[in-house]
Amino acid sequence: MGLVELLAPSGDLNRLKIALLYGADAVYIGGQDFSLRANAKNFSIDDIKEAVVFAHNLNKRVYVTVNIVFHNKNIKGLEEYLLTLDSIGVDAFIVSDVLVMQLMAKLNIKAELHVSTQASILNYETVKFYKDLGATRVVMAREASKEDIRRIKDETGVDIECFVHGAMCTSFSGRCVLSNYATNRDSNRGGCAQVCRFVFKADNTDQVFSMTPMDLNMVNNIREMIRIGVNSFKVEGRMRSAYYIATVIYVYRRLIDMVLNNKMDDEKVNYYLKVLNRCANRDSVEQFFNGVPGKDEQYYLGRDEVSNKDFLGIVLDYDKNNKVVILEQRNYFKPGDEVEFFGPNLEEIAFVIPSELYDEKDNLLEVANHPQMIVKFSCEIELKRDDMMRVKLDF
Amino acid sequence: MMLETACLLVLRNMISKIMMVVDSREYLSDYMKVGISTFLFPLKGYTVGYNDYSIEEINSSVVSNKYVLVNRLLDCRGIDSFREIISKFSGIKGLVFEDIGIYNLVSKLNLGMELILFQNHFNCNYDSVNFWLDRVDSVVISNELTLDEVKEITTKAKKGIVVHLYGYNQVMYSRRKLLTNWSEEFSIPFKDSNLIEDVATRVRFRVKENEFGTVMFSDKIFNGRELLDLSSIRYYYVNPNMIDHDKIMAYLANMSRNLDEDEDSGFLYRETIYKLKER
Repeated sequence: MGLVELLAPSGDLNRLKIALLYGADAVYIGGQDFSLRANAKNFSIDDIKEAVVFAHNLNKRVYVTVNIVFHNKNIKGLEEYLLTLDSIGVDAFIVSDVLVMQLMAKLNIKAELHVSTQASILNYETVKFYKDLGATRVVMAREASKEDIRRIKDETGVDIECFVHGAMCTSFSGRCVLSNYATNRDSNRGGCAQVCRFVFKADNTDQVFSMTPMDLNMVNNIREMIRIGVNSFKVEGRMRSAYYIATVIYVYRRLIDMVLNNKMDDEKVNYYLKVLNRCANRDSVEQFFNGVPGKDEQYYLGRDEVSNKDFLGIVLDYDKNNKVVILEQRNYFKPGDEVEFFGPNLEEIAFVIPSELYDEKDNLLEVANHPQMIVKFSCEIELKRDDMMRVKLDF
Repeated sequence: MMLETACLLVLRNMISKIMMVVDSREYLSDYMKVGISTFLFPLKGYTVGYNDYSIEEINSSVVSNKYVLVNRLLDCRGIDSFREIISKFSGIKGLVFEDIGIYNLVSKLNLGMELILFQNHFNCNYDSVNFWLDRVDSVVISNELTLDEVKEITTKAKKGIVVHLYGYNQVMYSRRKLLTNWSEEFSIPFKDSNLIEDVATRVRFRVKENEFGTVMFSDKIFNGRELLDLSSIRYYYVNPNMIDHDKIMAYLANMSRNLDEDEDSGFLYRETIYKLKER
């Protein structure tokens, strides 16, 4: 068995650290240029430096997306950008435009070339082409079936990266410019306005509808994906919250480890499935892995997207001597609430909020009701910085 | 009189560079009468969004420059089956294709066919275009470019390129059967093509579906008459699908005329936004 890697998205340094601490083997990030998600904060060069040091100290990896489809005027500055990031030590560039691939070869870039899912790869001949250009890994199109993935692995030997969780495009990635036409925002340069999620009406009926696919969820296919040779298990969502990333990475880390250690536990898998479904705000299905999704794998009309308030706080510190946790609040909680902690090295453990809560100046609180307020309370569980507290999940 | 003759020569030169998508075989003679000699046949089983033709139908067609269009993104079975049928073509000048796997497969077979890369929405800069021109005979450049961007590419391209000239622009390609799903969900009679409108922006798209997926096109007909003046053009791509035949013939009689109400210039004068904060 080759490399088996859990790959997490990160929209900023904080989320990058959370992703790596919660079990990701690698993270993918966007710089402030040349990356899809053009309107996100993204990483400055200094941020990328810090990210690489942080990841490498944990023996983990950082991949940088350079995955826009370049127009003439976007070429300026690309060479310097690649050289700078290469000198920083990023481990790979995720690329869709042959211009970047060619430039990486010309500049003798040490970082690996990973071909982006924007290239819509579904067959082994396409992979052979990119392999000849120096690609060590391809990110499969989300439309790839189990059979496609297995054949490509068998016939090319390159590392295979597949999405396992998160949002889906209605179209093949890269093969959609609905945004350009409806909003003048260039979807292949990071401006996607998600027009496929808009509400449409057809000319032969008044029935309105959307074309929104449900999210991807491969919890029940991880074992099979490892068996057919998938090397990197990619979670979508550079714009997602730290809590979402921590939860999803925490779950997939455990699922992958269960498979690798031959300790699959169906009860636990079902529990994790429920955790993921609760964390997301859309239904999720396996999409194309076992066939083309049909009418029941997409949304047609407005759906209820309930804001998730499960995330109650993140641990800043723990006073071992006095057994007091210092926590930064994220959502409302009060004495007597049943909660649970989980963390990078902490399995889910239940807890009841004690009767006495204090703020950072040791004033007694009745409730914790201000976002990011500092809250202290007694806790026998030995916690660590970056552990998280959420409502108790009763499934 | 001399001016009329000169105009006629210019028109003939333009017409001779048209690569005409075959929307219906019964119209071929009309197109040939006005001087079109290069035709693109969408291949049944390997295209989405076009009227398509079997190998036998393509082989038996008596036009001079025949190209075959393969615009599906092919899965492994698709590339396997294409490998099996590629030797069955006869009298084909070349392949116009979307999937890079086709290039990797066919370029090693020495079939004597031209290869023209037609990746929708890609090939938006001269370096990428020249990368491909080192490997294939021509490249269809993206139709989401400004006129200045197209001019810069044609100036710097190593070989003649293909530009969209007339027809509905492809906007989106999905593996999903969106019209089927929609008709099943709401028990609405299935139509393999439809016109849909975004309720909020009133922007409309034309949708076509077959067993391999769904393609959406712009609502306005793209008319790139400004591109007729460019040099380094190998072919002008004209797609008459979904357009009334009389309108197509009228267009071919006067390609540089002003735009009709149902036509626009696409992005030739409308640069797309890259980063919102830059505006």
